[in-house]
Amino acid sequence: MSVSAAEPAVTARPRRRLSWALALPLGWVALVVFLAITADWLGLPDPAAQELILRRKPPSAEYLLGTDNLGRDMLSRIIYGARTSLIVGLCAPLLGFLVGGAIGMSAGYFRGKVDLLAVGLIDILLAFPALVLALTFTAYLGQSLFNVTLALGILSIPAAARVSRASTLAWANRDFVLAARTIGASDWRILTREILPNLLPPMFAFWLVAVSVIIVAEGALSFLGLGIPAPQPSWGGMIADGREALDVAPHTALIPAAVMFVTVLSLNFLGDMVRNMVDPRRSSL
Amino acid sequence: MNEGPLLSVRDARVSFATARGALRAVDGVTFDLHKGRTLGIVGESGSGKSVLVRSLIGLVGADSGAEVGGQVLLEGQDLRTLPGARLRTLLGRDIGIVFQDPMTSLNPVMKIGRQIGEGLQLNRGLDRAAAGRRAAELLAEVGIPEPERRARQYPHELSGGMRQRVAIAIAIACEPKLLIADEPTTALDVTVQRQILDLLQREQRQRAMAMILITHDLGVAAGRADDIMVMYAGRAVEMAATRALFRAPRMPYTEALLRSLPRLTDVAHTRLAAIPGRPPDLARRGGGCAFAPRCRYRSARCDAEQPVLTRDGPHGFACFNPVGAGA
Amino acid sequence: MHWLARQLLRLVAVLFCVTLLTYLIVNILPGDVAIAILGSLATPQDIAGLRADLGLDRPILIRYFDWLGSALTGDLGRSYRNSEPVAQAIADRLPVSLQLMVMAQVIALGIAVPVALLSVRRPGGLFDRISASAAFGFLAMPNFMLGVVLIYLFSVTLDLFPATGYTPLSEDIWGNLESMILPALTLGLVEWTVLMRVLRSDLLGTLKEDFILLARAKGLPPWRVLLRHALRPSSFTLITIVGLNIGGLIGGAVIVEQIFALPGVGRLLLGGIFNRDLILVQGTVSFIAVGFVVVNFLVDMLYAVLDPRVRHVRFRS
Repeated sequence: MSVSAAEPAVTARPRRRLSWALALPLGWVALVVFLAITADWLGLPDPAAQELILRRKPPSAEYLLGTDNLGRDMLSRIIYGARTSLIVGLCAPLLGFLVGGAIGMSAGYFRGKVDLLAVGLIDILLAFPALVLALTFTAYLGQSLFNVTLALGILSIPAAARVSRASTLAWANRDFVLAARTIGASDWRILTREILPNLLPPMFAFWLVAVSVIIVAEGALSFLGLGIPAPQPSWGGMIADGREALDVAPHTALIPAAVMFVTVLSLNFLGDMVRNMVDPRRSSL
Repeated sequence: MNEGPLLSVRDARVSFATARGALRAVDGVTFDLHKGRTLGIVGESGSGKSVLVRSLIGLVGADSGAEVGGQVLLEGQDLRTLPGARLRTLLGRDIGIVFQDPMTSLNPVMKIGRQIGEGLQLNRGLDRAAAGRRAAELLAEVGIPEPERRARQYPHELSGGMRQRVAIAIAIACEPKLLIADEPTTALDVTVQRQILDLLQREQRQRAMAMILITHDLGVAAGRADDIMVMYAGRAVEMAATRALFRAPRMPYTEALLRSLPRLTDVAHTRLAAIPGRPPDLARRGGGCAFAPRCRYRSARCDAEQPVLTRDGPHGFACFNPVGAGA
Repeated sequence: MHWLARQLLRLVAVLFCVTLLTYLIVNILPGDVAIAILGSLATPQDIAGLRADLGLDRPILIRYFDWLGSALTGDLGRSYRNSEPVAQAIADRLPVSLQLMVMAQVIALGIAVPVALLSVRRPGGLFDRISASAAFGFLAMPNFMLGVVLIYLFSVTLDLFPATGYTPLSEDIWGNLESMILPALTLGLVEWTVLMRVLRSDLLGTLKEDFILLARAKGLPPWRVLLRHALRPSSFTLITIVGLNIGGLIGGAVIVEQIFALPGVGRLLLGGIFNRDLILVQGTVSFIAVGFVVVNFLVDMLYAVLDPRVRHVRFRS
């Protein structure tokens, strides 16, 4: 067990080496993003085109990742699915970030009734198990890319609000804010000029975590059939489809599963790296 | 004392590997301690006194990133070479420690009686009930009223002074031969400090223990220690019987320390005599005496060579230009 | 006790808002219900008539309070599809979901606690690094993905456990466990990572405290120090995290029940959603949300009771 009885006056800090262990996740994410953006120009077969005769074929020269239950090209579906995941994954947290961030900042800065209201709102939203709320949303508001993004965005508001509120509380009491007030700066100015810049690092870190969480959440919704509506491809939906054929054509489920896993893993890894760089430095003061 | 020393430390060293090089927290300390005697180790923060003592009993070691050297003989057994389990047994049975801040040195979520009784169960083989009874007895002995009730309480329910008494009870529970008190009163109110020191002394006399009393406060050391060892920058710079040290300090650092103590007999508005400069950065030690940059008797030799502890009878000091007759 | 009263009041307020919100969301499209029952060939008069019968033309708030009133007496209405009382349907399926979640949590703790303790024995050592990587890896697995993979491995390839289906405990213990092990593993194998990380970090913090030093100074062997002294203060954080994770566990149960075709509350909910069975969905979501809020409340209370420091401060004020 390591128990430092008397901490030495100077501690060693190992240098952060940019190993190629960083390059792998970065490369994968870059690849996914690139393919998602350029999907239309890659000359891929139509992801919705069914060739029932060719269903459940394993990977081959013609169909690089095989075909699914309905004879659709897996590679093409995976790439278009990436597009879906990325759109939801990037936009939903952004919504949470903007709305939740604003709520949290107001709560932390103005305190009093505003804070009470905000905390109450956050608590109510958090009182639902997230997936159940998301399900209910998409089921009753209709399934579409927009609604899914909206639902997941709303779900990320509480977390973003909490982070921004906590940060604001920490910063709003600092002397430099007091100083700004004494020279007559308006609240708006203080919020945007003094407090907001200090909120950006933790919010950014939150956003990174949120992206991978949302991608998984969207996957879960689509898996259950309550996310992106068919025939638009989505990794979660593909896994669900493939589940039926696990005994005869496991690749239909396992390939999207692997892709999703590696993507989430890479994002988590990168998120961790960024957080290590951003957060510890800010702990002083 | 005709028997040999209880504790015999030879050239104790502790150094930590840091980005800036080896940090020598303890740089060759040698002393003896006899049964029934109290050694006061005095020094400012960073002098290495805490690290020294913790390394003696194995609480600072390879797993904390420290390199430990030298010999530590407790009744003839070298603690440094004992295998882990044997060292632990020895530690539990023969050595007791009291730390500085009882709020953090007591387990906040464990009842006090259990914390006292634990050592008894492990090292003296008492069963749970017997340990509990003995714990209550010990609480009474250290002056805590309603010991049975207190034994069932948690540390945060007691005042600071009482918590330190509990810490003392834990330390003496297994009837150790050596009691180490690392700044036992620093975290306490002044009014309570004296009570705790009195308690420590009383327990020591009653049980004929040897005691090491670590403090940065010379006043504390003056009244309670038989011998005093002054540490600076990881080395022992002066060692003498208390009276002798106070009457005639030889090492300029000790002299400066004594002078910096305000006295009631001083004229009003007398300037406090602080020691100029700051303690050295232990990772970047030059070759000469560590105190030289701040010493009023500094000479060329002081910067070049490291003074070794030389003895003038029972009084030892490490200085080329010692204070006093014949300097 | 004053503090307790305030907490209870807050609890009631949250429950009220939660059920109201659910009702509003679910009932945004009232037209569907009547059409769903009568079919798409119904005439507008039929639809209007049915809506009046069902009270669907009243203002939504009135309907909510009506529903709330019944709900408080245990009547959650009857399902549109089969007229089964919703409360009964939930009660029948609750044991399955509960068993699943409890098993998952037990598996998660059973892995997390030993791994954390072993990691902390030698921080930065081989085991620590391997377990950290494993935790990282498992954390990245969405539970639906893991479920499918586990089915592939253990059902299809190794033929050890059934892929779907459920045997009640009362019928056959082994059969029950067989049918529950894969679902519980799916949830537990992801859950342990969070628990382990938190516990490990907390333990490392605790181990730096002085009282650990004192424990070692008493001559206590390392394992005893870890288990007796370090684990206790750290376990409070663990309990908090377990409590915080219950929401995720519930969501995960919905997914897992679907994958493995377990007759639990989650599957009931999904069925209700797909069938546009508003009353069923209303009742089930409310039940889940209320249960979640109450459990969180209890965890908070438990925390206050367990940690003597918190207890002391609380009851003083």
